This record gives sequence, C-alpha cells and structure tokens, in this order.
Amino acid sequence: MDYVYALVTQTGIHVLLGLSVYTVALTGQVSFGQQGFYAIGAYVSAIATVLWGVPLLPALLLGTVVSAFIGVMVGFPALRVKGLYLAIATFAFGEIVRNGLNILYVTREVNGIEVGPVGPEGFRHISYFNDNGWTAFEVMILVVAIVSVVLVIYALLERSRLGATVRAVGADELAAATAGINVVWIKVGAFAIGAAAAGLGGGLYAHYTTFLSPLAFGLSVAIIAVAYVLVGGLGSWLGPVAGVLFFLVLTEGLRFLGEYRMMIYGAVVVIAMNVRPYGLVDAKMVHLVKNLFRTGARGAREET
Amino acid sequence: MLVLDQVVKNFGGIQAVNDLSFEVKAGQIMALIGPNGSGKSTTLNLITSVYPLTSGAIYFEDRDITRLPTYQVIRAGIARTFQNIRVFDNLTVWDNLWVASKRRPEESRLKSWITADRAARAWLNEVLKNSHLYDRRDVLAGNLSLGEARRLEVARGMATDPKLLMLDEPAAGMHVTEIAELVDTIRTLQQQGTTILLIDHVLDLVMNVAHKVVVLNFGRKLAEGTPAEVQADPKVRSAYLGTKEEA
Repeated sequence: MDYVYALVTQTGIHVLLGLSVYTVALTGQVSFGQQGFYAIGAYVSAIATVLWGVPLLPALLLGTVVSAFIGVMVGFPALRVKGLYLAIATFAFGEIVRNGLNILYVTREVNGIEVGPVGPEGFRHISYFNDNGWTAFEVMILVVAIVSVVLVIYALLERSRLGATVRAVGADELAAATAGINVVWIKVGAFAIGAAAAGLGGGLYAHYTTFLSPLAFGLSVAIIAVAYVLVGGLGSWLGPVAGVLFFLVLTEGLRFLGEYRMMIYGAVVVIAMNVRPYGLVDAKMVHLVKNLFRTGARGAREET
Repeated sequence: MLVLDQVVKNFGGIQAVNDLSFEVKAGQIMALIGPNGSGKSTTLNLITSVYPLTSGAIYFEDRDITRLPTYQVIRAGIARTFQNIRVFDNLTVWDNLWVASKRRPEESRLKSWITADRAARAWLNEVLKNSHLYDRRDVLAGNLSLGEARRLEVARGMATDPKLLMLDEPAAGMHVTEIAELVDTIRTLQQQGTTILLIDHVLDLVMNVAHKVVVLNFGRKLAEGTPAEVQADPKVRSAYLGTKEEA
C-alpha cells in the first residue's frame, strides 16, 4: 500500500507543479523557470520547520508567499520579453536559484545535530512528519486535501471575470489592452499565482522526501512541468491534472517493458501530441462539455 | 472632445504621420479618409498609445492622454476596433464583452473581478442585443462569421462604455447589405450619444454618414470639411484618382 500512497502523494505535488506552468501559459507565455519557485518553496518551508521549529501549515504558507513575492519581482522584468526569449529568461532564473542553493549554508544545531542546507551536499533531516508521527497514509491525505483546495480555487477563478481576463490576455495582448485591461498586471499576477502554486508544491515535496538537493531542481523538472501542460491542454484546470495523470500512467504502466520503457514512453508522447495537438483538455472540448450542461439545464427549465 | 495637436510619427526614416492636427467634436460622426498607406491606421494607433508619438500631443476632454498606456486611454472613454479583426477567439461572445465591461462606480472592485451582478448582466445583454449578437452569446468568438466578429468588436468597444468610438475600416470585406446595416448601427450609436471617428477608404460609406471629413495623404492633412466640400476639392480628387488604379 505504501507504493500507492507514495504515488498519490507525488502525483498531488506534481499537479501543483503543472498548475504553476499552466497559470503562466494561460497568459500566452511558456516558463521554463517554475522549478526555481518549486525550489524556493521547498527550501523556505523546510528551513522554517527544521531551523525555526515553525509548524507545518504556516511553514508551507511562508514558502508559498515568498515564492509569490519573488514571482512578482522576477515577473516585472521577465515579462517584457515573450515567447522563446521568455523561456530562456525564466530558465536563467531557475538556474540562478539552483546555483544559489549550491552556495547556501545556513546550519544550526538542533537537538544535538547540525541541520540546515549545506550547499551542494543538500538539506538533510527534514523530519517534520517523522518527528510528529505522521504515517505515509496521513501524509497522502494532507497532500490530497491541500491540492483539492487549490483545485477548487482554480475552478472558481476560471469561472470568474478574472479567469476570462487572463485568457483574453493570452489570446491577444493588444486587443486586451484595447478592452481596458491592464495587461502588465494580469501577466505579472498570473506569474505570481503560478509561482505560489510551485512554491506550495515545493514545500510539500521537501517534507515528503525529507532530503533536498540542488540537483533535484534542474532542467528536467522544468521540462516535465511544461510537458504536463502541453499534453494536458489549456482548456481548463483539468488540463494539467490530465497531463500529470497521463505521465503517471505511462511511467508506472510501462514498467513491464524493462529496457524498452523509455523508447515506448517517448513514442506514446509523440502520438498523443499528434492526436490531440492542443492537449487532452483543449478549449473546444471544454466549450462542448459546458454547452452540453447548459442546454441540459435550459431544457430542464423549459420543461417545468 | 478629441484634439490632435501637431502629431508626428516617424518609423525610422519614414514619416508615417506628419504634423497632423484636427479635432473631433462631441456628438459628431467624423471620418478620417485617405488612400492606402496614408497614415489613417497609424493615427488610430497613436491615439490609443499602441505606438508612442515622435512629437506633438493628444488631448481628450481637455486631458493630455499622449503618454497614457493603452488601457488607460480606453478607460478614459475611447474605444476602438481593428482593421484586421481582433476578438478573443478562445472566449465566448458573452465573455468577450464581460472582460471589457466597465465597472460601475457603486460596484465593488473585488466583486466585479469574480462575478457579474444583475445590473452588469443587464447592461451587457443590452449591448449584445443592440449588436444583434444576443442569440450567439454562448458561442466561441472563434466560430463567428466575419460580419458577426466585426459586430462583436464594436460591441466589445461599447462594453467599455466609451464617449468616443473609433472604427478602423469597419466595412472592409462586407457586402452591400452588411454595409447598410453598418450605417444603421453607426447612426444609432451616434443618436444614443456616442461620438464616432470612422476610418475608411471606401468613400461612399463615409460620404453618407459623416458630418465632417479629414483627408490624409502621405501622412499629411490634405483637406478638411463637409463631405460635399471634400468631394469637390481637386486635391482630393487627384490623390484618389492617382491611387485607385493601384488598388
């Protein structure tokens, strides 16, 4: 069962990572730097629980808020460029964070052992769950609960005018400005919300794995996070969730192929992108489903 | 209402707009015409701060709007459409208007970001009905016909509750009956109190509806006056006859 608990926990954490890229992508931009916010959230919340003895939830919140704040700081200059240039700029940010962690030494003696991040050797003893007697099952429930709350917030925001405005900016920035929309704020805001989602995911990741290394926040994380969104689609928050589940099923389901696994894995991704070029959950599909419900509701109203 | 004062715009060595001054009076339908490449669309882009001016100034209701960013120009009360239609393809018709709708002063800012209250709904539905798009409100804008998309662009502009509406070649690609509808729409908007700045190179449309016409050629003002005066002007005739063959 522990295998299942671990899978669900990791899936939940990766949904947050996917949402983070998704939020930025809604405004029409691709970020390869969300692993930087993931790392910031992880280190900040772990430092809070391990070095300062802060309880878990406030520590997670702190990691989220610090990530969002740095998101605003990075967003203002970075979002002046677009497309491939932004992809490179955000990736550069991710590398700055990773290299910063390589020279981050903040250690302290707690209960007779030296704890805290030790540069490239990483950050050990993030033992909050163990110290407080959490079982793997309870950790899973916590992650599922937090991710569910985040998804509910996303679902509500997407029905709001703010959600429509973010999509309008993604569709056409000039037209959005001529609709009276402050495009810069919407883009920076979306970047900050995306950074917050990644920061929260990082905080959960830190406490789940108990050991952080700067190596864990490299380009591979950026690529998988973007892949979740490309495969999942931008139609709704279900897109990144579908993307994460797609890769989960692929990774775990193809284990029996042994050596051939990664080859088939790549082939399936290529096929999926050809079959559904705008992702599993694209705008047309969302609109179709919405209209089904809408006409259904209207039909029912007319009958009574 | 809208005053352009010695507006100059250079793109590199090319003078797209050169020393252009004119005024749009409140309540009027004014037209800006000229052959292709004469600087009409550039002028519109200068008014809405899509490009910065090289020199000169633009005033709207006695307020200097020269350096305001685009969204603030719009919020000051100027709406516009584009020559090549730019609706939000991935949003429904209703959402296209919703994102553009101006917040009423009594409406709370936070709440207006979340949901449309009864009054906001009523207002947007009225704009939709005026543009004959009410029945299409749940359709994705990307699935509209060309004529519908143009009407949606006008409706989106009207959702910002503008005092001045600028239409950039609204008749482009339309057939005769659609143009007749367009003329009706423009007249109705003007009668409801919206000032109109109309850009076109199709003289017929302009001559029918405009109170005043400014003619541009090579970025300069060639003539200004009533449609009849402008039509009789020999300079205008030569500018148009000279370019019509190319077109």
